[in-house]
Amino acid sequence: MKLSEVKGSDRVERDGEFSSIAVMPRWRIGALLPIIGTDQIAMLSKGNFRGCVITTKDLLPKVPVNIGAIVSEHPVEALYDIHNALVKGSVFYAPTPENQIDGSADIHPTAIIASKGVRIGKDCIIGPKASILEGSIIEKNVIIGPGTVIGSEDPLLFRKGSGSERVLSAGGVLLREDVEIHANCNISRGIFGDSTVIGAGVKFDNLVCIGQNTKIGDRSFLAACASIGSDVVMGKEVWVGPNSTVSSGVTIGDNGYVTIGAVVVEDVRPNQKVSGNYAIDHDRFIEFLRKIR
Amino acid sequence: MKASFVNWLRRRKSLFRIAKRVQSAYIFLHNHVHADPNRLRTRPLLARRTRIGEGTVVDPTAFVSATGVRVGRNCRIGPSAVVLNRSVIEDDADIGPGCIVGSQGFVMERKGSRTVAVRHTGGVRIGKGVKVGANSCFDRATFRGCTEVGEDTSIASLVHVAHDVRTGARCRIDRHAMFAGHVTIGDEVDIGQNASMTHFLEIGDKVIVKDSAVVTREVRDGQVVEGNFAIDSAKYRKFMKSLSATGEVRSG
Repeated sequence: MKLSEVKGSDRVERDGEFSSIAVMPRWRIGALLPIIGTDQIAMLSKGNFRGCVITTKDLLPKVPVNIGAIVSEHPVEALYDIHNALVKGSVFYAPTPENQIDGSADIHPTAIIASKGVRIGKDCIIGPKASILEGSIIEKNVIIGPGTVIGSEDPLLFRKGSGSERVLSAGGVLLREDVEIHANCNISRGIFGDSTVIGAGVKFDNLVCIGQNTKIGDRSFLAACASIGSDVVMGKEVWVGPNSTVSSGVTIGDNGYVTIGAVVVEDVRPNQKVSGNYAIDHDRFIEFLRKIR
Repeated sequence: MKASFVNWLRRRKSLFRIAKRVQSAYIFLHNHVHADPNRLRTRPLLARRTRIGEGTVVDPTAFVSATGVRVGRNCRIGPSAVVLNRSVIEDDADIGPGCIVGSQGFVMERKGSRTVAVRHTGGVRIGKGVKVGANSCFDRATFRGCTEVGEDTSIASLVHVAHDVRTGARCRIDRHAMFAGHVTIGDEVDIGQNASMTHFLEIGDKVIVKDSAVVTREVRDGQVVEGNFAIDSAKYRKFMKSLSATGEVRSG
């Protein structure tokens, strides 16, 4: 889509084309991004970025000339405004498809399935009082426990005028095969057209909460009450312990191990075990704990 | 299984490996036996029709399984609550809105690239006069017996009670606290908000676990613990005072 075709843009400084919307630091080629700092521009030039940005008047001269640009006083708010306008239209984001529910799926009579945009594969089991909302794609052999909500919208707000407005969700949730989710969990759908992806064979315990656009690698385990922020990327066979918290935007490597009650705010390397609030390497944490125990 | 025994076993690696093998074999057999739903249906506890005692109010939006549930007298089951089979709810209990009683526990076995989920076949017993807030979950016991909540215990909202947990009488469990599997707690225990109990943990009588504590070791009768990981409250306070600029710590 061209910048000049977008409604609700403050002022197009340089026209350009974009194919998706993203926020820093999860940028990608061809995206429309809000830019509010020189370090972000440096990051883009280093990564050979092509696409469009929304930025302030002061930062505009520093943006490379091959990048399309809109000038706005509040770039992030302007981006959300453009995104909401695009969600309401049907040109940029594809319209919601009809439901496709396999006959072999065992759906409890008290479960709630949205009227459109849901795909349920073979041999799935959907428990009582579970809700499968718009944009959810469920592959074969998935088990969804009682009271679980798949595809809820993250309540992301932005300031508009004197009030605030909700950012509409355009993405979905993708549950790959053999995923098992227990009671009262919540998985939010992606906001900017991407899906929240739960890899094959991932198992969730009760009360697990997953933020928008999080990607969870195959065969990971998430124990009870774990809370995962948005835009988290997790590798394969990760263990996320009970009641642990993973902050938004964190990356956890393959085989990572987050112990009970940990609060992860930094990236976890592959095979690393972290503990504590804030989480540090487990051995170092235990060493420290011995001093005060 | 006692926590100390598990730890002893863990220290002896080769023994632990053998024990793991035995456990795997047992789980395989267990799943094999219980995989057939017809076979399950013939089991006496499940075949019995659900019985709901006098004076019990079940909200019309709640779901109570048609078989294998026993609800006592003068209970209340809130809107959108789910009570699955093999659950026993004693007299005067109050199950809040959105609570799930009898969900599957979380015991997973990795076998190469496959993961085998253990089909839980035990039950849940909620004692007399237990009060539960909204959206709490009670997992069923793994093989046999029940996950038990003692009488007159109050459980707030979003609490997770895992498989094979046993709580004593008159406990107070605050919001978003969680128990991992096989935790045993004594009578009159007070558990703070967002506290976590690791699996196979044993907690004595009249213990206080403060808000957001992460308890990983056995707690003796009457002890007060706090912190992540939890240590004795007095020691934790001393440490916090050493960090604080004024040398004072507000009592929580």
